[in-house]
Amino acid sequence: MNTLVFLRRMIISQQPARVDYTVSNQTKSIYYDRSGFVGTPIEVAQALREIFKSRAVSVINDVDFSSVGTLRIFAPQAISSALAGYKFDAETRAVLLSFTMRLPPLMVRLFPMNRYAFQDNASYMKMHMQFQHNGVFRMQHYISQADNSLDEIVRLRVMMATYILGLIAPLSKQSEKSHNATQRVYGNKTQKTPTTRGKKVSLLSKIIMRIRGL
Amino acid sequence: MEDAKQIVKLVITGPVNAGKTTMVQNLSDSQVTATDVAATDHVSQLKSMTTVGLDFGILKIDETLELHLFGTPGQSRFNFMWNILSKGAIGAIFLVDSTSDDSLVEMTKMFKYFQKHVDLPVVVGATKQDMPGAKSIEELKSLLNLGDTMVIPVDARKKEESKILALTLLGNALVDAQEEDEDYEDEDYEDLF
Repeated sequence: MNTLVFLRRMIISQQPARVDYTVSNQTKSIYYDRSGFVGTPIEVAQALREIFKSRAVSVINDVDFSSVGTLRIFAPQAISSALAGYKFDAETRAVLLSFTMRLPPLMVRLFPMNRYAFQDNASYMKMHMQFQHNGVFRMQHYISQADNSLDEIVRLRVMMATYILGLIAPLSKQSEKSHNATQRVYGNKTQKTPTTRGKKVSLLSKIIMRIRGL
Repeated sequence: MEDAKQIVKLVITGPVNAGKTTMVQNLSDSQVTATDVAATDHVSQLKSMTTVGLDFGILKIDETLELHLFGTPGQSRFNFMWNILSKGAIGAIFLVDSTSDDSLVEMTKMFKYFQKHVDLPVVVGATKQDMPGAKSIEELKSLLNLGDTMVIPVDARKKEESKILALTLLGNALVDAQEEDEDYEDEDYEDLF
């Protein structure tokens, strides 16, 4: 889901930028700089929701800020507002699930999202606890463990927020390997060669993409 | 020299009249080879035709990879076929008719055999959930003693629902494979981070 990737990179880089996006054949823009998104809280939340659904998004970094307003909404606040009660249609859900499938083993950073009225903070806290407990966090597990469709929506929202704001990041291979090594001593798992495992992942990914396109 | 084509199998199984043939048709992009004949035993009370051999369909993934779909006969006496079918298979979909007690009894036998003899990712699709007398997903899980196995309502006649069931199975298999896969490269995710 390129939209999330663009937003994440823009927010993490903290460089002034303009996001151009198309919604219902109309091109719109929203400005961002280190202080946050330009606009009122309602305007920014609305724009972000439109960006989430837009199929055509681009980020322009060489931007003139002289004519934009002075009101800024800090990124965590803006994302929290945009995701408050946010629900998605079947197509967006499928795209989000597909995006989730691609995420590698992750580390989860703790950030006081409750200060920014993040409605799904409890679920985010559970996510962080899982990471602390296991030493690695797998978004695929987290989403698939949803109790029902509403819970899945909450978890997907948490995925969106933490991904966009950079609160999740790929776990370094070294730290995961040391954790897995500990598990292996006690787990007595059947060992397979790395080549076979990598090949299986690639093969399954191809088949999933193909069936999705049927 | 041209690379040899790789073939992986997906097995669709379960009791009679649950929708296996239809699902194989939904997931294949080739003409499905069906081995349906007129039913003569008790199955004739459920439907006029039944599968005696294997339903077989192919889904071409790319130039080097094909997914072969096998729909098995719906009687537990054909359990021995698992020895052959499970070789090179990536997973199994069980379909069960939610309205039929006979289907549940047969499914219990088939699943018991599967758990004992076959090591494959599995998902259960509960069909005919829209019919009167259909058992709920919770009831089915309890009656069939499925443990942690995922049970999903599915209308096998609808292509989208067949796809979702297959994607659930494959998604779970992918997570398992990724979990085992310590050999991922950070570069694989460069476009995401």
